[in-house]
Amino acid sequence: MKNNKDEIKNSLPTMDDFDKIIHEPARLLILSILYVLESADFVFIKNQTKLTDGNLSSHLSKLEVVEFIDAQKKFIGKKPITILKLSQKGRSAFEKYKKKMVYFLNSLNRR
Amino acid sequence: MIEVKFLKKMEKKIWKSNFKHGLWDILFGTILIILIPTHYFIGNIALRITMGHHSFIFWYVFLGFSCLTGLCILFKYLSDTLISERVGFVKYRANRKIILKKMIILCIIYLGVILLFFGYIYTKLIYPIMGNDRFFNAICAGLMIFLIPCSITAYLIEFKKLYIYGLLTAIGTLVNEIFGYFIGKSYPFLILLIIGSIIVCIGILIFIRFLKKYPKSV
Repeated sequence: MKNNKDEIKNSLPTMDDFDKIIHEPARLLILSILYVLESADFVFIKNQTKLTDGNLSSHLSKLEVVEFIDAQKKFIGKKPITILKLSQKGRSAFEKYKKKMVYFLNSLNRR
Repeated sequence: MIEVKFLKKMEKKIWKSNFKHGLWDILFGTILIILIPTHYFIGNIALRITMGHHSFIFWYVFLGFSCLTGLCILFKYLSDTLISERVGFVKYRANRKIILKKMIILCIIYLGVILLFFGYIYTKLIYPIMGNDRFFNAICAGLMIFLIPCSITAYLIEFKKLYIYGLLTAIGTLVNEIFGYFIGKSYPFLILLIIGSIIVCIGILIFIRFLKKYPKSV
């Protein structure tokens, strides 16, 4: 019985295994959107996530600090826009997170 | 496969948000309305001057598609100026670009198929057998010009309303002939004017709602 419990405990990932930068719901949503797209601008992400300007900016700056996203300032006509793109590091981190989460959820199903 | 489904759904949801501004509905409705002056121009003016039956169909299709190209350019301009600055700019990944490329190639091939069908197969092979059967003509026009291209486009770009619009228009052409049969005199393309106007009205309503929901950012 004890062996069985230990087995379950060892096979389940701990919270430390999940990247906490990605695990936060708003950032997870932002990264998911950028993962399925090539690039998108700030307004587009704001409309899709329904986050406020300030909230989105703070999440984006956190993602920028860890180099998960690339932000480029551009001008279309006279209007400045911020183009956001998932970096290679961000893409592989997201894929890693995705695999762990799937493994975690699938292991719950098996039990 | 949880993650694949979720991300695919997410991508689809983002892609479908492209059709929520109503400009697509206005574009389709306007195409239907434009077919009417095209029809009358060719039918009443050009045909009287020089053309035979073959040239009539050729010029009809040619002029129709020229108008379509002009409308598409206008649509692109409006989409860039009015829509993108409200909902933001987005670039899709390679799979979407491939689908769009496929659609453009299919459109070009289909244009050739229509020209071949109405310019040769119909006039040389079907017309001598069927004669001027108004119901058969209506079914041919409804299927070849409206239902098939609308369904292919709706499937490729995942714009589900286009299935309904295509079906509605195809049925409309047949209904027009049925009315013509019972009343004695048919009003060609009147039904297209009605259907086109309804679709444009729906598009305008959606567009106004869109403009209210997404005001221009300062």
